[in-house]
Amino acid sequence: MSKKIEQTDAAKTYWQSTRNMTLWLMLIWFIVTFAAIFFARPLSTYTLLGWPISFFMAAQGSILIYVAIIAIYALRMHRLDQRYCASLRKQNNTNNDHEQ
Amino acid sequence: MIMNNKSFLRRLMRYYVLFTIGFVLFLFALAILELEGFPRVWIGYVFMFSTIVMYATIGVINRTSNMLEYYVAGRRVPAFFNGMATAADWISAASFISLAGGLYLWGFDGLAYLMGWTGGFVLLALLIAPYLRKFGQYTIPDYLSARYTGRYSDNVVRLIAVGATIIVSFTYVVAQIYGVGLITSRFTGVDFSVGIFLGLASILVCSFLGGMRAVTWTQVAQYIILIIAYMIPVVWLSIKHTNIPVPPIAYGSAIAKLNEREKILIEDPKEKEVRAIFNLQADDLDERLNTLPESWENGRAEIQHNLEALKLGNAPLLDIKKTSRELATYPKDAEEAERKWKKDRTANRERAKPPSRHTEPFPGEDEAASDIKRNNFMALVFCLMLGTAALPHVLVRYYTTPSVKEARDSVFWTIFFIMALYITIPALAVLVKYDIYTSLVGSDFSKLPEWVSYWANIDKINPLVAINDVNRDGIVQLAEIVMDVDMVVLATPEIAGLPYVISGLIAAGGLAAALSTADGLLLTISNALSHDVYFKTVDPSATTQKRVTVSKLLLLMVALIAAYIASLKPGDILSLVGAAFSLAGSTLFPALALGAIWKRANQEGAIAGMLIGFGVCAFYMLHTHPTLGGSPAAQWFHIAPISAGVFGVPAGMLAIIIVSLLTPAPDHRTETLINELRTP
Repeated sequence: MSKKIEQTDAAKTYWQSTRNMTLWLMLIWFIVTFAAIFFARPLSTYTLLGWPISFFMAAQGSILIYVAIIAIYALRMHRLDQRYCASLRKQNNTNNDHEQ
Repeated sequence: MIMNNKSFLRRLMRYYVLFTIGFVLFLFALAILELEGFPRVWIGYVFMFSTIVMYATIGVINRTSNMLEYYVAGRRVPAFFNGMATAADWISAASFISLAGGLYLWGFDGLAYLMGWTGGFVLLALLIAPYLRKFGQYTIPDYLSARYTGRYSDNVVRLIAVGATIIVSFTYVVAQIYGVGLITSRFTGVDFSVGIFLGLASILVCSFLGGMRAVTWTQVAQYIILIIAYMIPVVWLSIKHTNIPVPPIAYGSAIAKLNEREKILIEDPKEKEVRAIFNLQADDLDERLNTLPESWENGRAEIQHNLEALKLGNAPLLDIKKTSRELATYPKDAEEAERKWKKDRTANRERAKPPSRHTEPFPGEDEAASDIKRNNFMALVFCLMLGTAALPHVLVRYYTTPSVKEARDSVFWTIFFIMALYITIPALAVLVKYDIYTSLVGSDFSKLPEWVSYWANIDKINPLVAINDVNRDGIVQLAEIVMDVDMVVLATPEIAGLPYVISGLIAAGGLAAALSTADGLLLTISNALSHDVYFKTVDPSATTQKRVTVSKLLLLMVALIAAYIASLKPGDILSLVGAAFSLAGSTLFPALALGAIWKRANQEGAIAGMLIGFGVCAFYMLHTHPTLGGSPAAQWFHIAPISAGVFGVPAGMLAIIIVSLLTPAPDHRTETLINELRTP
């Protein structure tokens, strides 16, 4: 039962980078959302181009940041995918070399 | 294959660009007809019927009985279009029609909905959607039951998930169909139930014939219509007040002007006079409530006496009618009087308060009241976010993309298209508020704009807008205006001074928003029943042909039941729609999110988590929601029942973690599955 399931190094690195990025982006999401609400009252005294900052954050600032988070995730994951495929290919090549 | 996808994408682009151009030309044609004197009602008819026929046509073109096409649109919807379809799936009648009004009435506090309904997509993108697509089956219960296998039959997890899916989606679909009835009856004057069945007919043709495939391509068309419908009047209004045609950028200057105007209205002596009158009326009701039941008898006797006197004195018919109506609506007994008067007293006290400032966060009488509002704001945002990430009808849309990468990209397009609408909504609320505060308030009662009388007469029992000269000075005061949440969006075209065609367009947009969401929900419910209950549990040997047929029949049944319930106008169910987010979040979110992230989560944990999450959430609602027989006195930390998920989600999360750790780790098969999910 305790036999570990084999996982390639490439898969491990891929998952580690995915997990780290997920954690970082979640942290940004959490801070943006709940700090903006929690400190809304003190922030409302400052204005930015007519908007009180807290109102701007709740009405559009946070939404724009969410869009950015998801865009960064999609782009970075695509790059990780490519790196994963490249390292798989390299591994296959070295295996083939050994066989020769 | 890649070449093939590209040409498919190009072809789709061409179709929808042509569609958009055609729709704009159609608008112009109607505008010209209106100039030529085409009657208003007919414009409403033309909009309703042409859009409904169009959706049905898309359904007919995309008819299918292939299982892969029926359940997941053949898994070849490009990210861009899946994003657009999901956005339409997501944007409900409430987002389109009521949200701007909500922001108008509640100011800063209403923004919780905007934050919650967008922030949830971050969780969905990061924790759920890519893994769901990688898994690549048909429904949400599929994913959960495959991920959480173990000692018990897979069907245990499956059926719990089906139950949650149905409870959440069904309350939601009733609200959408209700919205369809409301929009059609307001704009065409047909009966409410007739409106429901008209709208339903197009949904059914579409999803019955073509399943997910037809629904997808209809939803894309619906998104195009709803975004055009929303943008035209807002952009117009924004140009009118700020000279900048981009509302989200423009309304910063309107906010500053609104602020100035609010300061004046709060201190205005005439406004204070009106507010004082409401306070007096509330005091009077207080007095009557204290002297029940005599006050009830005296009140009735007085009206009867007045009526007799009027009849004897040959008073004008209008006065007699008015008094007899007063008698007819007088409470039937002392108990009803108590209920009614208490409600009236609260309403009067509310209206006696000075208007709160639009941009002020959590206005309250003191620090503590303001803190309670802040906590409720945070709780609501939390529940809406986790509920959004766990709504089955949104999640299944990510099964329809060709690859995991496209699933990730399509979450981006989804939130992009939702953002286009959502950052415009607060702009609309501010612009309309500024317009009403400056041009309607202070105007003469004899010169009320046309839209006020038009919309006031649409629904006589619960008028959408009511303006009464409370202090009889002939001038409109802010405190004399009562507006329904739906009013802001409905009246925007007329406030902006646009022709009635644009009002018809708003109706078509609202209808598109309601129908697209209803489509997705009905399909999710009937697929859960046919795929998860019928095929996986009752008859696993059914042929694919039979499964699709069963699914179509169930769709018809669910749609009819939902339409029947909606036609009863169930206020109770409608007030529970917000609560559906809490239920979805508490029941499904922990199991879905931990599925790919935490290997150690096992079947026992998932079962416990879903049941306890649901239990805690339902328990809190039953104890605190007035329509479910609860009372606000039972609230924990003053959290409103709509945010029951604040307790349900952590309870479900903890239950999964604790029970999983106390029971054996998942087997090899599960571990292989998770490794599989975690690789591209």
